[in-house]
Amino acid sequence: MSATAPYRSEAVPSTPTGCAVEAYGVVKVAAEEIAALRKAPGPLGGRTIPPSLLKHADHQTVLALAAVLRAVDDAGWQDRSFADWGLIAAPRFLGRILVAAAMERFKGRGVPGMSPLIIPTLSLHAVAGSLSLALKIHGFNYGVGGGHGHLGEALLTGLAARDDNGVPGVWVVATQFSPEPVPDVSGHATNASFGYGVALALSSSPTAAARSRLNLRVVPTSALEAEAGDDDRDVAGNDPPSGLVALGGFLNRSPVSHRPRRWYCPLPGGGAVALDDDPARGAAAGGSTRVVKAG
Amino acid sequence: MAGRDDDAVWITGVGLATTLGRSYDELAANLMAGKSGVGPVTHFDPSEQPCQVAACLGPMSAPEGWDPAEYARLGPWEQVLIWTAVNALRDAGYWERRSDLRIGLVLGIGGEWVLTWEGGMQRGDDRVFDPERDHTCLTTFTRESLGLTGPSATVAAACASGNVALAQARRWVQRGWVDVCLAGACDRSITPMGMAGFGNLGALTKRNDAPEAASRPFDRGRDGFVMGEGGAVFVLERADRARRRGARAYGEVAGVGATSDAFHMVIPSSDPAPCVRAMRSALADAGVDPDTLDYVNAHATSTPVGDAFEARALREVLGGAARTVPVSSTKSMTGHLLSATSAVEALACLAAFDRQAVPPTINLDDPDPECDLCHVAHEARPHRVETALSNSFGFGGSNICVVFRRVA
Repeated sequence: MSATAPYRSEAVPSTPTGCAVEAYGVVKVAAEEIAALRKAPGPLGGRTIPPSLLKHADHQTVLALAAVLRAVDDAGWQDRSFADWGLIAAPRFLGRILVAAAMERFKGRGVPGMSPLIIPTLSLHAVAGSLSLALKIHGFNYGVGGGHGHLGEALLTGLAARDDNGVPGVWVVATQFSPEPVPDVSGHATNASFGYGVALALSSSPTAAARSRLNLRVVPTSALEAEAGDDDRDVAGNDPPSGLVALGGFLNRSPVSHRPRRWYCPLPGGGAVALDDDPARGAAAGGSTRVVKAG
Repeated sequence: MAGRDDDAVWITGVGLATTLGRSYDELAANLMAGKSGVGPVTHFDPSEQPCQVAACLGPMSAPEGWDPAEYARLGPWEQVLIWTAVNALRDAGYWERRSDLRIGLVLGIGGEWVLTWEGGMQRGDDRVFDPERDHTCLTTFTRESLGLTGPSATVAAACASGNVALAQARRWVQRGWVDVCLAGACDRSITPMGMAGFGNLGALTKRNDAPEAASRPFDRGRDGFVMGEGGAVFVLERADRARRRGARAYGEVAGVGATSDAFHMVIPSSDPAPCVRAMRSALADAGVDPDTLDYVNAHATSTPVGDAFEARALREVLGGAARTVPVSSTKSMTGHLLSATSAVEALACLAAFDRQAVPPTINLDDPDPECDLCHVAHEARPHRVETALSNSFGFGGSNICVVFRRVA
């Protein structure tokens, strides 16, 4: 393929591209409490969830559903249908604990020891697929991320797809353990670890963006170089300001004044996704944190 | 919005690694010749596996300009990603000046960590137990290795992941977040645990004695899919940009439709409505009437339930045109590349534009009456192809369809 003379990059647009966050839910759960959350993930309202759905699901699927149910409940959306919505779910290192146990069975028993559920429930699409079933979502469902940087990838993907095929809104859900669990061969974590889940309901309505207090947008590099953090790696338990744990804290920390606040998630290659909280612009989105204390 | 020239996004470069070729011309020729890339699994002992055949990629060689010794040290996924991405950039004429542009990267990869951890187990290092060893994901590795300066993301919708990557990349280009975007998918799931997982699901063929005849979409004798591996990466950019620099345009990513069954994590819904809606949305997004569609590259994996279900949905979408719009499943030749399958099938659509012919469904000896469509069996059919619909459906109930348009 031939090409003409090189030319410099066209500028990344300076016009912010964003949308309103109409609801949010945050969940923090000690790893040993996931079993209880699996049986009762949150207020279901009038919804019914197939009992088998969570039985074999990964821990992060449980966290993701709990975060969405928290957001739905706090926003007063118990009767709202999400049939036309889209959904993006971004786990980090999905399935580590269960895969460790599955590998041990495979070592011991060979092919017959391989559960047919591993692929459908522990691949990157699994959280999104499971939530689409639970919430009866018929818009798109995508898995995103999977490793470090999953949160930024999820937010960027959600913003990109916010009006694809006319969806009225997109759930963006990110989950992780922090610090990463160190599994044993029986399918348990051997270290103290917390599971985190954050669910954001993005609206594709331009009018919602104009009146919403919380807005999510892509910011070009030139606008944030002095403010953005480094990266969001926290396997060692240190959560930087841009990570999922910090996002949960940002969402639930009441502003001390009516001054606008901003949270950044840097994107690989430059630029960031920013979440603006401007109390002067409208009512707060519905949302809260559910914390299940260990022991 | 799509179909308007100012929003059009073109494919101007391709890179690929499949059992039927590692260049576009080689793949296109083999698809049109109806060749099978399926054979016995030989890179591990499959004797305990219910299925012992697959389309295995074999050893890879370094792309031009890449240190062969360094390349040989890479893992199997990394080798495919470097090969496909480098060749896509070279093909588009962007390799030498990739640092001058903000180039994004979207890759459809569904089983990265499970297979990474399995790979560790096979080597005896059990890295799943040591989280601090899991640093860089494949997409980040690729972006950093190539020195790209745009954003990147890993996306997944199981066997529809490649189409998700194309859909996302198209949006990133349209929204102006990148100048150019690499998009594609990769899969190397033909491993002991990968084959055992799908085999124990009952999803794979048991025709172990006839590998080349094992993948037979729409045929009455189909009994499950054949796993394949490899990948494809595309360069996407705005039409005006491509036109200005005189780039070769393989085709336009003209429309996308994406829905969910919300029915079951593995089994397709008995209600075709979500699948139908995905196809109709893609056609509407592209501004293409079903009557004028020139080719359907079906998802059809060679499973008894899935193929019949897709045929039913296609008949509903195409209406009377179901008797005239040619349909084929190139999985009959490539096998089912899982996360990467729709990326490779996008190449089949581009080859149909390029060769003005429809690639065949091989092994379609006895068409299933429940799969009644305008099949192109055994041999490629010369045909005017200006538009093509590529279907992909995945575990988790994802239906993601993409319409491609030939660029004159």
